[in-house]
Amino acid sequence: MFGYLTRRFIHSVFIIIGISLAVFAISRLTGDPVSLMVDFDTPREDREVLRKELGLDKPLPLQYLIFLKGAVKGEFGTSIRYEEPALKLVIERIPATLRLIAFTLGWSLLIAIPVGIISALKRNSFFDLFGMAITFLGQSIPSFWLGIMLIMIVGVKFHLLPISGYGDGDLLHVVMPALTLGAFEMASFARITRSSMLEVLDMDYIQTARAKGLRETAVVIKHAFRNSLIPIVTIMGIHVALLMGGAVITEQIFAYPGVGWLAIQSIYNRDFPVIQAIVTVVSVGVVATNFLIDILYTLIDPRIRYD
Amino acid sequence: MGEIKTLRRCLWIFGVFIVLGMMGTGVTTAECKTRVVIAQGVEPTRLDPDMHRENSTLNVILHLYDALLERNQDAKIVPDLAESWRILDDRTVEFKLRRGITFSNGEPFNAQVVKYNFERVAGLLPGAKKTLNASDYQSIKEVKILDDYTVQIITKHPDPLILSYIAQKYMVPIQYTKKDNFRSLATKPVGTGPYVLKRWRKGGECVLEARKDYWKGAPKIDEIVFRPIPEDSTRIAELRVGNVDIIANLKPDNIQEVEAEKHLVVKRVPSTRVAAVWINAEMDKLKDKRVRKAINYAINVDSLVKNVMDGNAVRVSTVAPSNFVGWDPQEKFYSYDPAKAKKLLAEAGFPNGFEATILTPRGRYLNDVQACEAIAGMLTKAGIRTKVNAVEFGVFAKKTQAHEMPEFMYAAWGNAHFDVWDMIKTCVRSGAMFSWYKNEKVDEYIDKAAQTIDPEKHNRYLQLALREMWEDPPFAFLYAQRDIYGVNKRVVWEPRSDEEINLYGAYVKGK
Repeated sequence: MFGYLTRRFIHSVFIIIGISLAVFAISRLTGDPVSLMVDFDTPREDREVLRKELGLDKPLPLQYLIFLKGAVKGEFGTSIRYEEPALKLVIERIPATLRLIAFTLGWSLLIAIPVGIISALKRNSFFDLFGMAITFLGQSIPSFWLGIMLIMIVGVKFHLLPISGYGDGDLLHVVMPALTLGAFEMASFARITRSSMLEVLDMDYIQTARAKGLRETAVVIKHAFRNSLIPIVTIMGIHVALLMGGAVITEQIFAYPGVGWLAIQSIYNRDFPVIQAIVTVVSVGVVATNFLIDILYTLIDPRIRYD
Repeated sequence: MGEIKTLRRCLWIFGVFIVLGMMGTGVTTAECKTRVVIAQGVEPTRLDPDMHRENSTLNVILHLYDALLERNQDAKIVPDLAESWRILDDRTVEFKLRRGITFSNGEPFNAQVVKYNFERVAGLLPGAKKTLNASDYQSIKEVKILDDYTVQIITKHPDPLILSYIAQKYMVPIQYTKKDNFRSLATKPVGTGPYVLKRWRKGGECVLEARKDYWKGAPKIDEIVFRPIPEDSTRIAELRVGNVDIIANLKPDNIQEVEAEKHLVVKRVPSTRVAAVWINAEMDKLKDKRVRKAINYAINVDSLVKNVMDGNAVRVSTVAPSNFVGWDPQEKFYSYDPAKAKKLLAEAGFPNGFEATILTPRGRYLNDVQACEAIAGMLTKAGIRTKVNAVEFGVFAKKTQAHEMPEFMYAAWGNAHFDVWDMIKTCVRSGAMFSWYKNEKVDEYIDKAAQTIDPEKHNRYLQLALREMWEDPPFAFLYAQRDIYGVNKRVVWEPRSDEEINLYGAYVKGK
């Protein structure tokens, strides 16, 4: 187990370095923060002074090495736009995004798992067809459109929930963004639960469980559902990364002050230190989640060993 | 069985949560103070008035600080912290300052403050970092204190925009900024303005509170809240439900939606943002002025104004609308004449036209991509087979500032000085950063206009430059935009042409 974890850790470090290098190169190829900071008629010499102050006059490989050196110490430089430490800006936004992701995962799993289980148990019934039609919709509706529709109907028409922002940390502000962000997740989880359950329900040990006189609910929950959890947990790990991507759009629609919205603003303004801090923090988060999920496998399925 | 129970319990908790959520309204709570909420696309960056270049930040700043002069609602320069000014010669302006004014931290405002502030932006203050507005104050040579309340600003050369720049230089206190080299100002601003910063959460509300002791009289609105809402449709939704009172940059497509609400009104104001198609006259095929004239004849500007801008623009004969210094009352317009365009192209050696690309930012200016698509269609009809390259603004800025442009570029140039010289010195004068054009006569007029601060002479040279530009066009001349705002009727406020949202003087009905 220890050997496996060490290998995974080294692997993860390379992944994070690779991601940071890609983001570093792409952000610098597509824009120049100085051109967005100053007036259009600012003379070239003044722009150069500013570029020097920001360290953008140095060769790109050197800039990258400086970034890596700082990142190891947890220093990502100062935001070009806000003139505040980049990492501080990111950390300030993390609680809002974590709350959004937690609510999204919470509601989508609460709906998806029962729907998936019942659909599998009542295969080809009306419930199954209806449930799968709904999940098909959930996977097909663009989150952008769904967000706007929720705003128009729930917020504007019926005045039921706050439309945008974070309030004073009021939980109601997270409901619409979480519904928007979770529609796709809910659909994916429901479909994977259904197919995984269908596969497990055909296994011999399910027939054995039934044959020895266990109640159907015990067969379903204890034997079938537990054994079908592996693919569900796996997809959850992948979806943490997808949720971060989705949060970028959702937070923008709802003016929800999380890391996703900060990412968009920083990209628009070519605020390199903030972009790099976000990418590093999020990559570490996603890699760590997948790491935890690997460990979770051993708890769910005792047959899995990393020795 | 236990698992089923747990599942049921979870579903109940979730259900209760949803019901509780539905019971909440989310609409603003009861208020005893007058409070006006402004939603902007982006949040302010830094509240140091010399360290930003964005309108969204300026809108906050202008409530916190004052300048020696200001532009009033009619865009005329009038005294503010200075009670009067005198132009002594082409390079010297003298200001008499008001007495008894203090910053919100109690520091006095006087001639020392003025000198300190202008020396900072002109790069004359030792140890101070270069400010982001430094290019506006490069001409300042010296700030001379005559007594505690009289100062002279002396420039290296005549600067026709100096008063306009002075009207944009907001005063900051000395002691407060000296202690950490202006650092605190970014998040804890101190000014002489009508409001002070009450609280500001990044990504959330920036709340300003009225100063009851403001030297011009206490503001009538107790609290101004700036909220960043990047998405157009979300801003409109918040306006419709009454959580927001003012939104800017309303798109023509959304006007009907806002007008349908009884408590809202749409306000329009002529903007100083003038749209044009830059023509790359450095390219061989566009060097001949007959080709550039043909381009102007090929574009149906009236149709663009009517169909693309939905009437929210005013056609201009060149690049100066009627409220600009340099506007020519004898203006003449290019007619829409595709046949003439084809004829001119043939005369210039292009009977079969040519291929071209028009570069535009996506979503930066009002209906920019739609306008370019229409223009490309019109040019193609005249024989110039044009395709549109719409890019994100950061890419656009990088390309254009590196002097990279295909045959054409669409932009709407803002002008806070109401003086066409500001635009043509940067976009027409040969060798300037955004000029792909050379005409010695035009250069001469631009230079002459730069050498005088006599308004009449300055105006005359600009008119001559524009006439020459009409004959030998560096642009396809289009229109000046109209700024469109959605406003809650409870707020009595009028928008301004310079895109500033200033609520000092505004009030809430019945309060």
